[in-house]
Amino acid sequence: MKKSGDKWITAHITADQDGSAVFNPREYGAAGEDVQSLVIGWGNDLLSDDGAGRCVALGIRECGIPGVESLDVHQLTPELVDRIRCVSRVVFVDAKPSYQCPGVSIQPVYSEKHEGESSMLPPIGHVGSPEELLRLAGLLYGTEPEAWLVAVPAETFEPGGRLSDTTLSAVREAVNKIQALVSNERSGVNEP
Amino acid sequence: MRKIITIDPVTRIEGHSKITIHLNDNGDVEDARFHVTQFRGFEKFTEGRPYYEMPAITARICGICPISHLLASAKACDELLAVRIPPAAERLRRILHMGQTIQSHALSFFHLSAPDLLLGMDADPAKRHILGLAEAHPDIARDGVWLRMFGQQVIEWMAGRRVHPAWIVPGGVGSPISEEVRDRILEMIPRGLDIAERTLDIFRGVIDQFQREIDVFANFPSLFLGLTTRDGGLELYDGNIRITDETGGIVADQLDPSEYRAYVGEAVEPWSYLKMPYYIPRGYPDGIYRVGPLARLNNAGHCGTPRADQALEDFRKLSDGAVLSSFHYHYARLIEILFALERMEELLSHPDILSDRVRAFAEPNLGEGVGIAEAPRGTLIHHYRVNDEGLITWANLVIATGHNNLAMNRGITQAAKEFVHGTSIQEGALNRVEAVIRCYDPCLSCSTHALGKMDIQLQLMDREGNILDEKVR
Repeated sequence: MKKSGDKWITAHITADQDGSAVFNPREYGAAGEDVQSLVIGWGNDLLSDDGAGRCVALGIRECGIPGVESLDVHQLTPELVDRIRCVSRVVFVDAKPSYQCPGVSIQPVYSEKHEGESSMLPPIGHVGSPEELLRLAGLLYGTEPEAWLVAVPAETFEPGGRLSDTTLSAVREAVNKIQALVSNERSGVNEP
Repeated sequence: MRKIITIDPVTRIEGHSKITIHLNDNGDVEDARFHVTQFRGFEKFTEGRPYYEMPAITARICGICPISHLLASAKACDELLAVRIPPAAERLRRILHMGQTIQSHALSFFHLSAPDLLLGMDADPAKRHILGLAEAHPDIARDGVWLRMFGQQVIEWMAGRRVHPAWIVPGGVGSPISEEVRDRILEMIPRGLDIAERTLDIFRGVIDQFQREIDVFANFPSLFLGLTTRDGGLELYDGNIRITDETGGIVADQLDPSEYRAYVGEAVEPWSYLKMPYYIPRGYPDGIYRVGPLARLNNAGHCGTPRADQALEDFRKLSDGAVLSSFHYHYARLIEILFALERMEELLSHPDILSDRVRAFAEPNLGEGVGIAEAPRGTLIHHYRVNDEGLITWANLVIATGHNNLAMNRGITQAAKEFVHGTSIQEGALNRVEAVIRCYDPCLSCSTHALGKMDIQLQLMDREGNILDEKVR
């Protein structure tokens, strides 16, 4: 049964604004064997709708789907590969300007080979892309899970701790779509 | 005709910057400048905010070392409250700081600089990054990923989140840690120690290949500034300021950090938003000094933990006096990872570590407070003044990367004179000039408290300011 999104969205924003520390230890480097899917939502929750990906990740976590772990992170940092290697499916979630992404979209992600690239392109350093993290997981651990990028339309990236109404609605839609995706209900989604 | 080369943006650093290399009429390098081109101004817009918001606000300066800002800010607030925090709270703050030091140093070494060190300064730039490292040396790259993950995990377990936790508060920390968290961290430390020692061996094995870089990567006499313990040992959280010179001799010792403005001046140059701190008794720019891992090890008589002390003994063999080449920031960084792991284990094993007495409560009792800590990149100072209502009336932040500004400028000049010739920029020369900056692991977002892209730009210019060549990445 799917849970409502309102409760966790409100809880997340309130917790962030009052600055209270949340003690929530969870295993990071060695996920349980039963975890098959990993959801990673990223963004800056101080830049309004840029935090949409994190909000989706919190929503998925709140749903408590068996076999699914959900991380809300500020950036895609290299050490995330240590988690990516443990699962068979990764769902990345990010905000995208609504003029580029009028609705919630789900696209497959493939590892970036970096072949024939210009030397002037800055590769993964402090932060990376979904493609680079998949590539790193492949090189270091010989595994590249099936991967998807969920884009959530964002109206504003101005400083602020709340989502716009449009993005809030899209966050709910994204949570529902990811629930279907990780439950192997693939209707409307292309195979990667 | 005088000419200038510009590197813009500088890569594999945090923040936005450019380097200009100035050629004389003969086409030889005359000068080089490291321009920091981003600006944000936290000191101004925090005016009017309640003092207790400062740790959370200033932590937002940086996503890499927010714990250092939290610490320095909370320590400044401790002074405003005029409280002495509970011993368990101080230990917990130190452990969290060790976690950040480990993850930040691991990122700098493995992800940003190891590609140069293990693939070569002249390696194909399309491969000279962490993915190339993972392809050529997967074991080393895995170690780097694990160490960074470990440091981040310590922060998350203790403070609730990896980036911008609000756990460190004025008067102590927000909550005690559980036995489960303590034991989980302790279980992981032995693997970290193995990685740190293994990586030190790898580094020692390759440094002979970089003698030319060692000779000219900011290899010059300067002062070194940083905190030490009361008995002159390595210190990252508290203590007093020590300043040493190129001979290793102590120039000043046990200086009160809260009096920093009596000995640290800040000059301004029109071509950079980053100030130029200097040691006041020697004037500007002769008062050039360096901070960070290299300075801390040059200043410290000992580390105080067995494995790090052994590594420090080996490090000392590099020079009869202070180790001067900034290339050895990498070496010092690895020794500090070892130290941080050992110290973390000691602190977690203290019988008081699970105490629930972790916070002192008070209203502001003083109008001014200074907090100081050794961030991964060097000495970090937060200085606040408040009114009777506890609202900030004035703030000054002196950031590690800023302390090193003069040394970074002199360092790229030295390297450019060695590696840049003619009116175009060759890839190997470009990378070496950038690599000088990367030795310091600068965080420009911190040092200007700025918002910007992680880019670098290099320009080659003539005496009239015409751009002869330009590289942007």
